[in-house]
Amino acid sequence: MLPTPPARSPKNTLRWLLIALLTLIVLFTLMALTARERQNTTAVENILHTALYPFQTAAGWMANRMRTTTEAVQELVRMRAENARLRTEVDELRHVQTLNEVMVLENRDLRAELGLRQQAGYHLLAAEVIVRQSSNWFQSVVINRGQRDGVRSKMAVINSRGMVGYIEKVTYTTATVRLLGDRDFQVPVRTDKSGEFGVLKGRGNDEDPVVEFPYNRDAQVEPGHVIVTSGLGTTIPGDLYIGTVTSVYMQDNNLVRSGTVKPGVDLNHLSFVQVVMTEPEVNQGADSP
Amino acid sequence: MRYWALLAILGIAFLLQTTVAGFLTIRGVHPDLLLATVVSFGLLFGPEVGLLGGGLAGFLLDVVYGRYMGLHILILASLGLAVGMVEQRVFKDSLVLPLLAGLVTSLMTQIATLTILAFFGWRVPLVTTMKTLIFPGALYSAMVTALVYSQIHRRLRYLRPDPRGAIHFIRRR
Repeated sequence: MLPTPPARSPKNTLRWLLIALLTLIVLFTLMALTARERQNTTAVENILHTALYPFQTAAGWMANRMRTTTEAVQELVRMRAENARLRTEVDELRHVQTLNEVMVLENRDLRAELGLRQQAGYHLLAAEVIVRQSSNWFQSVVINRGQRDGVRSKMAVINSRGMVGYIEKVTYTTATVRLLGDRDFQVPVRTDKSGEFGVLKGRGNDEDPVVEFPYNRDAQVEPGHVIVTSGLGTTIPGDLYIGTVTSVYMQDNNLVRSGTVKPGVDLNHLSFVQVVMTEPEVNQGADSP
Repeated sequence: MRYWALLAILGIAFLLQTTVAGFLTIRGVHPDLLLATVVSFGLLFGPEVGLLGGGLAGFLLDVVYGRYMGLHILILASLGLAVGMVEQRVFKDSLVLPLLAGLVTSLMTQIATLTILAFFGWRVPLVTTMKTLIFPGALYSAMVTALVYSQIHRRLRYLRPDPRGAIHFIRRR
């Protein structure tokens, strides 16, 4: 039986209450300061991220290998049937590729004739996910690329299935990617068919993001339309595939047409991603993507 | 008290939370290994260890997320302290204890998180969030807490060879 602690004096209780109050004020101030997006990370964050980097890389590597092995076994079962289907698809794609090559040449010539600038290509930087979102409220991952690799905040992050998110903050060795399902995620987009401009917003909690068209109440959007980035006013280039509209509705205020978007990427199973290394001058001055 | 072992447990929980937990998502709900560890620390080692463990776990999470820094410190440190307060009043060998503690603390921390985030402009559909996130999350946390608690409890003699060896700086007077 442990001895009962002696009763505290009122003075002592008051001292602890003051400490608790002061701690609360400090923490709430810190929260308020870091609630908005930041361009730079603090020295403490840099040091801790760098210190954690080897452990996170090792743990992430093991987790990825375990997952890859499990998936490889599952894939093997599906592989035979898929192989036959893919052979047919390859033949079809070869035909499409030939057509595309002809069209690219034709497009280049036509753009030259019209005096238009060629669409800027961008360099992609491969990165491995070393830390996954571990909260029910925030959706982000940490990748093993940072300032030393030329990564900067607000760069787009994609994988073979489309846009994953954008760089939220960068340390020397790592970068945090805000995923497009995150509640604070926003990016300007457009529909590929009707060309309607809107904003894609994350909703968190594994729910599909929504696209809002605040500029046109009668936006021509239907389920099945493809959503891509618009490239307007951000470091995120245009035409990055995001997903497909699954439903369209008017918001409660009856002013903004909105739709739910099924993303191309599976945000719960990210292992490798690519950072779109856009040039700084592409930034047109907007303060958010 | 072997504090280095407690630190190691917390470190492992943090690494697992930030690497493996993403793969263990069920319908968008993540297992909360750090909450489970902090609750176990509080229940087994008292308010001081709960408070410090929760504060450290929260600090690590805040650094990783980099947003609303201080949120996790506040939530987890308060949780560790509150759970630790009942340490001497509960029967530690029962598995019902961590199940119940995991359920209740997860509900409380998620509601507290949502309330604090509402101060910063977050607006979420409350009923839907309760149904899809908070209640399933509490059930998941209850199971994870029971698992973590049982593993730490099995090593209790090693972790705390001297039952009086707690941090006493808070109760000094």
